[in-house]
Order: sequence, then C-alpha cells, then structure tokens
Amino acid sequence: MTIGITILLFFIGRRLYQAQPMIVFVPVFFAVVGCALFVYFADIPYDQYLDDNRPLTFFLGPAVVALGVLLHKHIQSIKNHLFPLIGTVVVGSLLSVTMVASLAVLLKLPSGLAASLIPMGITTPIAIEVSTPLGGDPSITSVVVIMIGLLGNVMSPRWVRWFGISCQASAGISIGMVSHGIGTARALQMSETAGLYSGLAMCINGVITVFTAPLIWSMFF
Amino acid sequence: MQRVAVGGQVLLVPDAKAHIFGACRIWFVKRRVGIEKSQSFDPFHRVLGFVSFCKQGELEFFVGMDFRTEIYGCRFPCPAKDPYLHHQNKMMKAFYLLVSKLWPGIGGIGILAAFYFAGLGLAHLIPFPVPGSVVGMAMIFIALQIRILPLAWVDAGAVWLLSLLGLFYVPFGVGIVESGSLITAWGWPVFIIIMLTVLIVFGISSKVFGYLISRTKKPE
Repeated sequence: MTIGITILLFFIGRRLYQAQPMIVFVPVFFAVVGCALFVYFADIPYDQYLDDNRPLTFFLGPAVVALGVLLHKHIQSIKNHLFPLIGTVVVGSLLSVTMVASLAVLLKLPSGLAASLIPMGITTPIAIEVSTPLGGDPSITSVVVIMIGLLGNVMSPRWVRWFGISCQASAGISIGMVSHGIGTARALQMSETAGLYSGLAMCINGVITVFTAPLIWSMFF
Repeated sequence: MQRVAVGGQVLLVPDAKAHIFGACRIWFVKRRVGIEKSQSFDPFHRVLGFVSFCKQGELEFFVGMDFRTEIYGCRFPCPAKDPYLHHQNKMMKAFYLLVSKLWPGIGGIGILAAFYFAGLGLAHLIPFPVPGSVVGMAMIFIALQIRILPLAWVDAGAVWLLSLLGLFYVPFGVGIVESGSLITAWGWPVFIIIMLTVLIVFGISSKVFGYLISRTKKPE
C-alpha cells in the first residue's frame, strides 16, 4: 500500500508544480516529505517501507541503462564535446574530494566522519565502496549522498540561474557533478541534453573518484 | 492513429508539396527533431537521417522507408489504411489503441531491464567497483551503435523511465528524513562542508566547461 502512496504523492507533486512552480512542490521533495510524514504518523518502520517500495527502487537500474539510449541519440553532440566533458569532470572530481578533505582538516572533524564525507558527489553504491576502505561509515555516506542529491534536485535550476549558466550541456554537467542521479532526474526535466550530460558526468565522476579519492585521502590524513 | 515514424528515414523536401519518391510515401513534417546520422541519398532531396524522437504534431514531412517502418508516439491524420482502426468492434478498437500506445513503452522497459541484468552479471567480472547499471548502459549503447538493436524498440521505454527517474529515488529520500538523529549529531561543520563544496564545485565545473569549450573551438 505504501508504494501506492509514494506514486500518488509524486504525481500530485508533479501536477501542483506544473500549476504553481514553488520549491515545496518539486515532485521529489514533495513526495519525500509526504511519505516521511506518512511513515511517521502511520508508525511504519522504515525498513518495511523500503521493502514495500522495492518495485520502484528496482527501476533505478533500467533507468540508468536508459541513459545509454539517450547517449546513442545525442552521440554527435557528445563527440564534439568529449574532451571538455571529461576534462571538466576530472577537475570537478579532484576539486570536490580535495575541498572536502581540506575543510575536514580545517574544521577538525574526526577522520571516520571525514572519510564518510569524501565521496560526496558520486552515486550511493560507488560512494560506499569508496568510503568504507578509508574507515568511513556506509550509513553516514549514503545519508549525505542522498541528502546532497535531494538538495541538487530541489535547488539546481536556481543555482543554474545564480551562476548565469546559459548552455544546457554545461548546466547538465554541473548538476551531475554535485548531485548525481537525483539531480539528473531534475536535469532531465530541464531538457534531454542537460539530462544526458548530467548522467554522463555522474558516471565518469564515479569512476574517476574511485581512483583519486584514496590518493587524495592519503595526502591529507 | 497511424503508425508514425520514429526510426524511419527523413527526407527534407524543399517545398511544401508532398513528393512521391520511389516507393516511399511522404507525409508532412513541421519540424525535424533528433536527426541522427547524415548521409546523402539523392541530389535533389537530401536524406538527413533517421527520426529517432519526435513529439506529437512535430512531424510534417516524412518519408517512411517502407510500410514496415514502425513509428511510435506520434499521431497525425494520414490517408493510410489501418485495419484495426476501422474495426467495427469498439472493444477491439479500444484494446488496439491501448496496446499500440502502451506496448512500445512496456516492451522497451523490458529490454532495458534485460540489459540491466546482463550488466549486473558482467559487473562482477570487472575488478574495480562499477555498478551493474553503468555496465548495462555501456552495453545498450554499443548495441545501438553497431545496430544490433533498433532504436525504436527501446526509445519509448527509455523516455518513460527517465521521466520518472525522480520517483524511483523517493524511497531512499525518505530514509534520510528517518535518520534525523544522524544529521543533528554532526552539527554545523558538516553542513558548512556540504554547502561550500556543492556550490563551489557547481560553479567551477560550469566555468571549466565553458573554458575548455572555447579552447577546443579555437583551432578551426
């Protein structure tokens, strides 16, 4: 039954957002808050809720595969921008990991917590693979990663305006760099190009961070 | 309802008259979208490529390569006879319409799921951590590029799934609201790190991308 509520809230949010584009009505945010309230008041344990919603979360896999179809459709644009795309992701990935590590040193965070924060911008499964060997806590990592994803989903169109980004591809890359899949969902709403670049940035960022994070980590700790 | 043209070849016709070119039937196309590959075909009528994606009402001139070309997702009046549409039985007609509208999406999702499972299997063989879905993505991309898999089979399903991508993340999002104790335990340093890193990486990556684009364009 909870799966029905999740779907219903998402579509209500989508309809409301079409009528009145306010931050509260961003479909993902609306559904997350609505479901959290529902789970809280109906006294359903989260594990059971997640288990009931397994059919929904399963589709994340095929949805990422569907990015391959988009890639095929826009291959010409990607070919033209391949070097800038990879260059940007490499720079962004190094910058992200270095910033987290140096800020963690500056603010004197315990190294376990810092290790959990290191893979902030990449998808949850890879982030856990990265943070666990460094001594991070997988549950903190996944909470942080998903929180940033939600933040990106809700705020990214605003950020795109703040930074004055006019190019769809560039907006997509920025969104994918910071807020991986959940941000990609929002980028896809902006345009197919933005969604594709966001998805690609997310995948490349994940693969690069796997290799660079342990190196940068060993420089700081 | 007409089996319209995603996955067929598009011919740009210089004026607004319908042409008959060989055995191809030409329909009216308002705007061309998602053209994939250019190849020249005829000196007067340049074949621009394959229509891979189009929205309702966006096709105005169209060359169906042959009657087997199946085009989904669009609908425009066309003189071609569709046996099911002229069916007397209203139930049959409704059923046909439903199936013809839903099938491309459902079938496409099935194929995408098959690639996902194949990717999961292959991911075990790769030494460093790569999610199965990314391997599946690479596989479906290669299959489409070497034309083992027709785009029309998966296109509608991919568009469906990607438009619902946010929904699939909702259950995980509920998890972070549930673990509120973790968030309050960290305090403000973690909040500062998150906001600073996110905003700076966001801004810098767009600037770097713009810079690299301008650098790569210069030599021409």
